[in-house]
Amino acid sequence: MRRTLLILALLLAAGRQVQPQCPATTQLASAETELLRGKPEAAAQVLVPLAESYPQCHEIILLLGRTRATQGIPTLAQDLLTRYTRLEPRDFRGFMILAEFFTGQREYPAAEQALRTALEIKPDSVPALLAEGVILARQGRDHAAEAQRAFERACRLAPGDPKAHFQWGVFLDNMGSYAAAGAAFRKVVSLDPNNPTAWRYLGMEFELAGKPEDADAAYKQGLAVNRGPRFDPLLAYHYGRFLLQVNRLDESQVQLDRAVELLPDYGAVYYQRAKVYLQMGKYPEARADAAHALAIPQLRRFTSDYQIYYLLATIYQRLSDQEQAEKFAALARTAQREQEQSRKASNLERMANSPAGNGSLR
Amino acid sequence: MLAQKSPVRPARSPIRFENRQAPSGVRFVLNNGTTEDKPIIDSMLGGVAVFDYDNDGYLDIYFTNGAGIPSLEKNGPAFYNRLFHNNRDGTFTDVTQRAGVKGDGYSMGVAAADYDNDGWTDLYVTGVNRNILFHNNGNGTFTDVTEKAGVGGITSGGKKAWSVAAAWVDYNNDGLLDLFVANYVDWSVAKNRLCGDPGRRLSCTPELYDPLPNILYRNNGDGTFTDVSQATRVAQHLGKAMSVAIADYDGDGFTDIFVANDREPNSLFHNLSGKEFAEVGMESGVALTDDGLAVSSMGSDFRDVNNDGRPDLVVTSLQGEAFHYFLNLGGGLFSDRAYPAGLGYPSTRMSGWSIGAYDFDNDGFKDLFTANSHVHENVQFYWPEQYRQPNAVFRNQGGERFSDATSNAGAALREAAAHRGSAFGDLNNDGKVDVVVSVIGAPAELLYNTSPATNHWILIQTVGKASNRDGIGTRIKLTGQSGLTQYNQVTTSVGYASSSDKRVQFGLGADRRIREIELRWPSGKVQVLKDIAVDQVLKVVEE
Repeated sequence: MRRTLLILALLLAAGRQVQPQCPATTQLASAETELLRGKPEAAAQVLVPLAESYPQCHEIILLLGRTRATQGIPTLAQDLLTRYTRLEPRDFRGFMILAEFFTGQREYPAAEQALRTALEIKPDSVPALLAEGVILARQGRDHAAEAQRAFERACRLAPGDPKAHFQWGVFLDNMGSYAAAGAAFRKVVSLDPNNPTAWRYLGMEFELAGKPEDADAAYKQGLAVNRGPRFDPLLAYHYGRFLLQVNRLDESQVQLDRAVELLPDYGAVYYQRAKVYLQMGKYPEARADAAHALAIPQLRRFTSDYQIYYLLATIYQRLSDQEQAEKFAALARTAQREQEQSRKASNLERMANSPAGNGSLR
Repeated sequence: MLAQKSPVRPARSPIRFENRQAPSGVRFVLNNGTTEDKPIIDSMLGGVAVFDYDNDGYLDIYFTNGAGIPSLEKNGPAFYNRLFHNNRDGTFTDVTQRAGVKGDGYSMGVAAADYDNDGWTDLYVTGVNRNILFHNNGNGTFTDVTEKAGVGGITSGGKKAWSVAAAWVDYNNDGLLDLFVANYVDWSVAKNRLCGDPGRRLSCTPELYDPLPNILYRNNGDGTFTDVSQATRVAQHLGKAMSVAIADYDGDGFTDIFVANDREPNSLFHNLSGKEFAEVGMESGVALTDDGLAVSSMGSDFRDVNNDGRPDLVVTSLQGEAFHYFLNLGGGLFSDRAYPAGLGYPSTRMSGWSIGAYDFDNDGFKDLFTANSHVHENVQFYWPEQYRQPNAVFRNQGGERFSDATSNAGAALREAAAHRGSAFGDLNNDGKVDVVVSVIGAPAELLYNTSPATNHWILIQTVGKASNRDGIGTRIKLTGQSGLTQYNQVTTSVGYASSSDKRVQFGLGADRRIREIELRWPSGKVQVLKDIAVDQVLKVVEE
């Protein structure tokens, strides 16, 4: 989000032409600085009086719209940003910012419309194409072909831009095109070898391709460059998870210990470390981590109840605590059955609402 | 984890297979009768049995087949199940009509065994709308005795369940083979659902259909069976069964039953002294994957893979899920070791149906063969995956790890096809285990094992007296000249919907003599043979 704002700020700076009915550039610049520093209230304090003094200054409307969006006042933000695009219908920046706003509100069709207008103004804008691709992809498989076209065009227009290939890779990964995603991330790291997240994705793609040696190398490369503003806190988690798969338990524990430090509220980290402890025969530690994972609210856990119950049943079996093992096995059965029923119900509902009577796929 | 390693491990040589279907005369094409809507049944068929129906010492082949949709009737020879007689010269003759085993309805799987102890192997065929028990008359013909036997696959609700697989097992050690029938989901033509887009439909996920209970029939010894599913508590557990495999995993002398379920937890029915079963999948660690997920479990085999004396489980699943290797830790516990054992990563690229754990290179360690294909004929419209996939073979590297040996296994294992069932057995009695694989829409594959290794071997044919005549459930411990000890058991329930040779094969490496063979019969008798010659088919009669 912060990176996107920075990109937009640069766009703004590049495209800005001070209008005669506007205040001095320094006043607007100070508001923008506050905004970029994450202080939208301070920016608003500058902008609101300016807006009253310069009601014909469109630039203030745009900046205030961004400020309201950052403040979390969507009604005002939408009103201001839409007004700006009406006043400046040929300004590419306005539509990009409006699209970004709608995306944040999960109003994807509106965001898509704004981006289409932006692309009519600047058909070869790579940031606009990438944003369009992301928004289309978020709208599901029905929009996948359009999203693919947007990403492909962005990569064609900017073959040396790692950001374009990165977004393309993420899209392919989400579509289950793991081999193609792997190729995209290989391209990213060749252009930008200091991107730890790209190395992480590449490691995951290699895993899915059944290439553990290559995955290991990719994760290691990622860890070697994992610093600075692009530090990726998920890298240690994924490498630790991978090392568990290949039975390098001590190394796995080191990575997952680090992951626990970096992501103390992320349930999956404790879940994976519990599995490492289980394999190591450290059953009390395994039990503690599994219980910790279970205590984390579902939203931050990224592991379902029944996965953890099942793990706890196994741990208690190894601890020869039959009563607890049976209790958690029963909980796992019930939770799994409930999830199955809920999935079936949602599938049937989707089918009922689908004109083609379409059920979900395996 | 590994009990012992061979002190005289032979040099490695590749595992190789050669498809000799063309010269064999086996012209069988698995016909799923598919329609535009791609109903879920059309991807699920294709059991194969290798068994010696005429007792001439050579394995014959039986294929199940589909039917028309929506009639679910075999309205033409293209849908007949087929029996091929082994001519002992590499060719086979289609004897279906004479034998009277073309079947009825939309067939799925097959289980072969001598249920009436008359010395002739019978057949049980599972299906969507019809299960059939074919009694072998001993004269080259079979008789449909389903009604008299009472094994039609009707659940306690009075409905014919869609049965995929079955296993012959003497669960109460009374010397009579009982019948476990593995049922899938509550599907009918009227309940069929549509998935995917018109013109490129996909098989719907089983999540859209209700699970079913399995059925256990107790053999009464007079040609009839009694449904004991309720009495033994088998029926209490619903699932979506794809395959069934049997072994005495806890060594208590009673055979247990594993059921691989599709996107449901697998079931492990622990046999409580032949009286009833406790479902202990969750407690034992075989219900879900190592990640606690219910995946699309498909085919299974239940044997000791690491030579520690405890039967392990290998299970196939679909692309992205990886195959599973549940290592038996003892004490009733298993651990999914697919990834650490080197099976996980290579198999993530595969969709597996049938599987068998056999020692293809006769080095003393059981390898794995998997019959592969994606479920969906139209998968390529949705994902970058292929419907037709090559089969795979994984070499056991000494009990702890597997390596993907497919690329060196010959051209036959590079052929992508819609593989389904497979049956394992030595078709030409050369001491090397061969594989017969059914293929939707293409000729079945007769994969002769042409591995160049000249390792020694033995095939053990058990003949029960107090135990069931096939000796199914007999646990065999073999110690070679070198001291390498191996374990296996008599079963025909292997893979996906299929039935393999009841004879038990052991690879012996460089050993030229067998120090000892110990047989633990289902009757409880223990029989020990000493100083046995290698490279033979050894018939052992229960004493």
